[in-house]
Amino acid sequence: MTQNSNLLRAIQPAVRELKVTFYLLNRNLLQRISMVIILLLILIAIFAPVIAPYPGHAISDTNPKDKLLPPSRQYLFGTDELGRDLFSRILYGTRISLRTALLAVGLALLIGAPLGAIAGGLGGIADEIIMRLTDIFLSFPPLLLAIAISSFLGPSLENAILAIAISWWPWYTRIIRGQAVSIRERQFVRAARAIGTPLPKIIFSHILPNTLAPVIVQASMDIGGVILTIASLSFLGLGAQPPIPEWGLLISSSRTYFLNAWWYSTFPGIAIFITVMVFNLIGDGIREVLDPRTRKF
Amino acid sequence: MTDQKTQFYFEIKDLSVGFRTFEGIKPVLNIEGLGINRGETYGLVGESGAGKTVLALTILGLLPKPAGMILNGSILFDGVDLLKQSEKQMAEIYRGKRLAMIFQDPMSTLNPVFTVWQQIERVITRQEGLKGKACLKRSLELLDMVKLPDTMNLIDKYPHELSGGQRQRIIIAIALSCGAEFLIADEPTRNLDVTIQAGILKLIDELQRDFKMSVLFIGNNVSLVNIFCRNAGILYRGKLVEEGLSNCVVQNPLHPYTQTLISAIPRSKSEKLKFSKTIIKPEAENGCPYFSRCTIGKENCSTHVPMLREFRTESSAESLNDIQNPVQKAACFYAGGTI
Repeated sequence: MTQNSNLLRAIQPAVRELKVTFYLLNRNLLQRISMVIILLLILIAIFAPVIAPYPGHAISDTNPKDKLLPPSRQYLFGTDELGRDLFSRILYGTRISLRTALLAVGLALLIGAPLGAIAGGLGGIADEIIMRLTDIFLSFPPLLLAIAISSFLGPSLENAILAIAISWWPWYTRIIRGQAVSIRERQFVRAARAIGTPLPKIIFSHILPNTLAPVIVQASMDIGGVILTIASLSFLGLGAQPPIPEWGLLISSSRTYFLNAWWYSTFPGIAIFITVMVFNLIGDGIREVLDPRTRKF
Repeated sequence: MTDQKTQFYFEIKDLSVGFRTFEGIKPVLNIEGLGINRGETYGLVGESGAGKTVLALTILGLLPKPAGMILNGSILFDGVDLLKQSEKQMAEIYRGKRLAMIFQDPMSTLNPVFTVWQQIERVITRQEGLKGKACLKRSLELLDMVKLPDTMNLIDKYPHELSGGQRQRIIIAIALSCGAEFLIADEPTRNLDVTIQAGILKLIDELQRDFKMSVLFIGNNVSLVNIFCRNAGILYRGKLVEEGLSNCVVQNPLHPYTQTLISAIPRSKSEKLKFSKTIIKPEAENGCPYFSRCTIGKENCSTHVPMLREFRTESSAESLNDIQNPVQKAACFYAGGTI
């Protein structure tokens, strides 16, 4: 037995559980379709430069002689006011949306999860301070807060991510705190203390992992919501700036041509719709699978 | 006599613990004295709600924080007052190193999101500084010690994949891994089959002998304590009402509560169970805690609290001549009377 196999021993059971999760998700048709689409989206995001017929159009190239052409064999989704291929731009947009969504949710989790665990695990004054802080953040309408923060920081995609993370973390803090409060009273936490585990370690390695199931569900559903919010911010001119082919920005710049170029706003809209729906569906599926009571073999 | 009393390895003196409630501080535990020698097993028996678990948690300094409070007294362990130790000292020096505890509910004492291996590894790495191969070897050793079969396979399982008995053995293995000198076993056999119960008790007994541990065994079964422990104490409403060698206590119960407890043990099919007719009298606020259920109580029981008194009954003196000091204590004015 080497160090290596010890590592394996720590990972193996988790892999086994992951396999079960995938197997169960795979049995539901809707979730199977969602998983396939998510996989497809990820592949598109990675291989956008290879798939896109006009990679140059995604960024700065313009082609004024072909402006606002309807979908055709040459331009699958039509072209925009500068003659750029919409299909290529939407493919590149996948990249941007997925990355920003993951970054924003990840950042929100990074802020929200430890705070929630500390609030629930410690209780008392720490709990009170952290929860009142979340109350302050939650008292703003979510989009409005994001708008305020990103207009304060200046409009750019990075600042939009930051703005969304800042307006999103209190949700995770609340979920985790609620779980942590009940888990803190469980016997195994008491037992861990009885064998001398220090309190920080109890909070982060005993309480936190036990609160994660509902957070994973929430986060996977939130990816859809975050994509939508980023699109909204970009639509309002506070997120991605031209010429970045962000979906919301595409819709925003299509406004002027809405009546005579239907394809311009429709295809980015469909892209947003499918992505958001798919992540919501998979979130639902994960919720069912993670809870042993709703698990059906 | 007095010399011997100070030599106890573990001793509780005048301990009183209360819980803060809306109506003020309610005392839940009031122990005048309890001593355990090195390598000895002390059985604490009482009905549910008597304060057994509160006592265990008090010893470890794990009373529920805002509500529970220690009002008075001291817990001396190897000459050190545990109640005066800071939280940090308790965590670093005592809990898990010199004091260990087996909790009563095996189903919820293991963390559900980690495998057995991950949970044992943590403790061993922290307590003994072993890593990698040595750590695995040590954990397999521990699991073998608690007589779990197929350890290599078992070690990679999650707690929900194991039975109650298996989990309880793992908990015992973890509790023992730190080589504690003093073990608190809080109803370690609750929720377990009778066969597994016997196995676990035997195991604790063997381990206790091997490691010269002192054990505070908490249970609600008098006959079990009689077999398993040298001394026994009967706890009623947070007070020790009777104490002595477990043989004496069981064969010759002095306190009316103990008598009721022992007569409640079913002996044979033909013998009719004697359940005492519980005439519930009004509580005696300043009197004996058992007054409301006592059948022999008289007027003065409702106004005076009986203290633990020493008794030297004939039977205990005769049958246990070889053991020094066969003293039995009971907190009752009319101790020894029959129901």
